[in-house]
Amino acid sequence: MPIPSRDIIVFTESENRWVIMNVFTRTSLGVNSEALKVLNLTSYHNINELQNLFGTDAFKVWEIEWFSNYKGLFADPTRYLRKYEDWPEPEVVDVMDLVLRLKKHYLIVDDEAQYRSCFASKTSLLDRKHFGNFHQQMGQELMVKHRESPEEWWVKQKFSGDKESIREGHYKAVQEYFLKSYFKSKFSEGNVIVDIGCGTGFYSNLMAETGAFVLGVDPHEEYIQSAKKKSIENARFETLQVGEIGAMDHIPTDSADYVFMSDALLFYFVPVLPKKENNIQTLLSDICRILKPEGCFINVEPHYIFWLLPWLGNSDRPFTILTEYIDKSFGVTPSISSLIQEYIKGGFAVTWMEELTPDPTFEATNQRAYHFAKQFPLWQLFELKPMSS
Amino acid sequence: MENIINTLTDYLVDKIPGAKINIQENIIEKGVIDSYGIIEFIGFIEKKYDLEFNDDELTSENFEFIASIAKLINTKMA
Repeated sequence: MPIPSRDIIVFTESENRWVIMNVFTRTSLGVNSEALKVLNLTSYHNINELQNLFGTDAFKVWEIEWFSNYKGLFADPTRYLRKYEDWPEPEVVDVMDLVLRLKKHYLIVDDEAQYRSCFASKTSLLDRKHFGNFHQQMGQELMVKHRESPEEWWVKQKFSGDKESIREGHYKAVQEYFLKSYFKSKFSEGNVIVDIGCGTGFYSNLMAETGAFVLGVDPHEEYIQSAKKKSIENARFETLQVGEIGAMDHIPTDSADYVFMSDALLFYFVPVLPKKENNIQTLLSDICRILKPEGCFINVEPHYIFWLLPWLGNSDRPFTILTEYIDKSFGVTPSISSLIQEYIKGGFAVTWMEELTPDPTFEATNQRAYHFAKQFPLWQLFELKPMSS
Repeated sequence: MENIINTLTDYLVDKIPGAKINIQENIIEKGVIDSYGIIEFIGFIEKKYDLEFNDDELTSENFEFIASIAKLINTKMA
């Protein structure tokens, strides 16, 4: 007898349309009211009894689930078609087919223990038995389903076609909006800044516009080539295996006023590929060494709780559901204690923290995205100083 | 079928110097090929045999053993 998963929520979407969502697996199905009755009865009746009860009754289902982060790392992560106007035509199914659909989306399960064992790391990009973490799911979606290079996709999801500006969305309305004014207030002519994990150098150039000298470093050669093409006068770029022992040895000790790092430290807690762990303390001790004693390490990372949580509720009054925090099987950000403990072990003291909220004009562009990010920040910033100073 | 197995084995030996390929061995579990390598391998097979795997076929079960890959290629070409 199938068991209705205890991990589901049900909410209404429009007249006689409901969304059933498993908040752990992040899978959903649209159904009509009659189908909800079947969902309820699956705990008390086996499939033969359900067939006797419902006979040739017809139920409407809408296949609305999709990997919505394909649109971007900070796109709506809720994984179903948000506007019911975009839903496909309903499929009319019998009770047998309905039960199969509910199982396919993990809304009912046959074997609770087997279901729970699926919440483990993927063993390879072709592993469909285990849900894996967000990075693994993203890798599977890009490389197996779309056959796209993750590096090319990363640039595409962050920058506009000409790569000269950041695409509309949270990167622009939260991260760039905040950093533009932050950089102006923080940096000035003569400052030396090292931008670690600079990617294509967009923020390095923005920092260099303040008159500071910026050295951008990144392990991806193709990003550095792209950065060099767009480099402004006082910015320089180098391919460097950040985090590897000795990689930053040629950057002099006590030479930088600031080290900036964004959206990169999380990979030191949860590597993209299993067995490819980087040593965070190697990186932090390099940063500590190259900073002047009174220097500052500025670290902007996807929010340790709210990034990738479902955007539920009304678009102007959001709520979310938290299913994990300390032992994450899906999430890829460290808990606040493990993050701060690593900073401290690396010789840093936290001197400031901010949680980034959006540009108020973003509300007119994307009401749901704006209100979610305003209530539940998607990035945090830490300012850290070497403890000896 | 044997030709296919030889082609697949030759590819792996060529790509991964020193690799000892046993067609009964799980190439993913044994670490003969990594995640990125398997995607390249799939691309090679599609080009070589002028076929396209659909999303449902791209599973560990189908690509763990040289013999199972060869069987899938054979079925798709039939």
